[in-house]
Amino acid sequence: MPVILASIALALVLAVVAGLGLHSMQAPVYQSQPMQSVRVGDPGHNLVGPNWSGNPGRPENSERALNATFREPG
Amino acid sequence: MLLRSGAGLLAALVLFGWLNCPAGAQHGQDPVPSASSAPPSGANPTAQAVTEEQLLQEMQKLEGRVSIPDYKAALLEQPQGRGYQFFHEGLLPWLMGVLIVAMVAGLALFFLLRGRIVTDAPQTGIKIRRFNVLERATHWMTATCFIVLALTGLNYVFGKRLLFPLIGPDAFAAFAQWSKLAHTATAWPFMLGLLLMAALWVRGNLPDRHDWRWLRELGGFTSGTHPPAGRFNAGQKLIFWSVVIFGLVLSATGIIMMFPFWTLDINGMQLAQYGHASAASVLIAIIIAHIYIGTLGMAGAYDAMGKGEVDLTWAREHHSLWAEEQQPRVRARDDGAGTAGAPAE
Repeated sequence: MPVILASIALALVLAVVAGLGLHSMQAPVYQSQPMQSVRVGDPGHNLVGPNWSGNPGRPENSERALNATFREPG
Repeated sequence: MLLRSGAGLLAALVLFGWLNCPAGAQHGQDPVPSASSAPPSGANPTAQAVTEEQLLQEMQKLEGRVSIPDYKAALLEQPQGRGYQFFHEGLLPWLMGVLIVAMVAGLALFFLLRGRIVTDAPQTGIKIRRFNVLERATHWMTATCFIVLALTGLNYVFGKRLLFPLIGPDAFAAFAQWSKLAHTATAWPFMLGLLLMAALWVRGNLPDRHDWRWLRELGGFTSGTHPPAGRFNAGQKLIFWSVVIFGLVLSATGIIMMFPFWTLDINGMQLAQYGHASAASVLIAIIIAHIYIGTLGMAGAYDAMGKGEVDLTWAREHHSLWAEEQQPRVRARDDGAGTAGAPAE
């Protein structure tokens, strides 16, 4: 039984090491295939922003822009 | 004068109402659609338009234009993709399901007919070392990885059909993602174990003149006697070579798919998937039989790989030639001149 448990632990350790190695070889698609056009797959960095306000910055900026656009007159 | 003004006003109202009739019909009283869906002209305007199937048959590839740097994405459809879809969504689940269910059913029937295989003679209490620590560690590490790989691999094929309806989309999505990570991670220690096992046991699994008799008698099932066998009998040799050959196929095709498009195009990737899934289907069924005979099917078989030792009676009956080779070591140990940890080979 000790050999079996040690073997399972060894398999786990080797798998974690291999998984970390594979992970380090991967890159997000915006890094591996950069281009000039706008990606709409990431709502935080696209053209319209997360609130569809036209402000692609951080969410609080988008919220501020949204409030400024639709502020009640007077 | 008043009469003339009233007549003029009436005429203006009538004219205004007449002019507004079409507008009224458009706004508030849409015409009731005809019960028939056929166009009024009686002709289908798209009847002569080229279909997707015609385009595919004529051009062999349906391609478009993409603005992303990955130009492979511009290929929408090709006949090979239809074949791959038929395999992956139609043939593969049946192939894999039938193989596994048939193997389990066959083993259950065999167990009902034959029962658990036990030794004819009583146990001697004399133990023979069958597998050393390195061999057992290699076996169990590879076995652990194979079980993870098999379960996560089955999830690729049957997860959306069996697991998804049970646990729902969110849990299944998380499970599938972790399964994919576990599959690609445990593949590496599996490949390491596969190479080690091949190196450790290839000599004992080379064919010899006793194998044919063992196969002819189905390991003694038809003759009622124990055919002679060396360290590994013909059945174990078949398991070994199945693991090595199908394991190498799985490793090669798995690496191809783990690094997509590094060496092959989309057709090569699909061929790799054909080979990977087919080899996995066969090997999973074989390993189910291996697990059965190593646990429930044969008394004493688990001790060989679990503890590394077997009883002399077990060795004499199932591996008589190997037991004869071990006799000098057993006698030497009994005389106190040898060590109990003598290697098997």
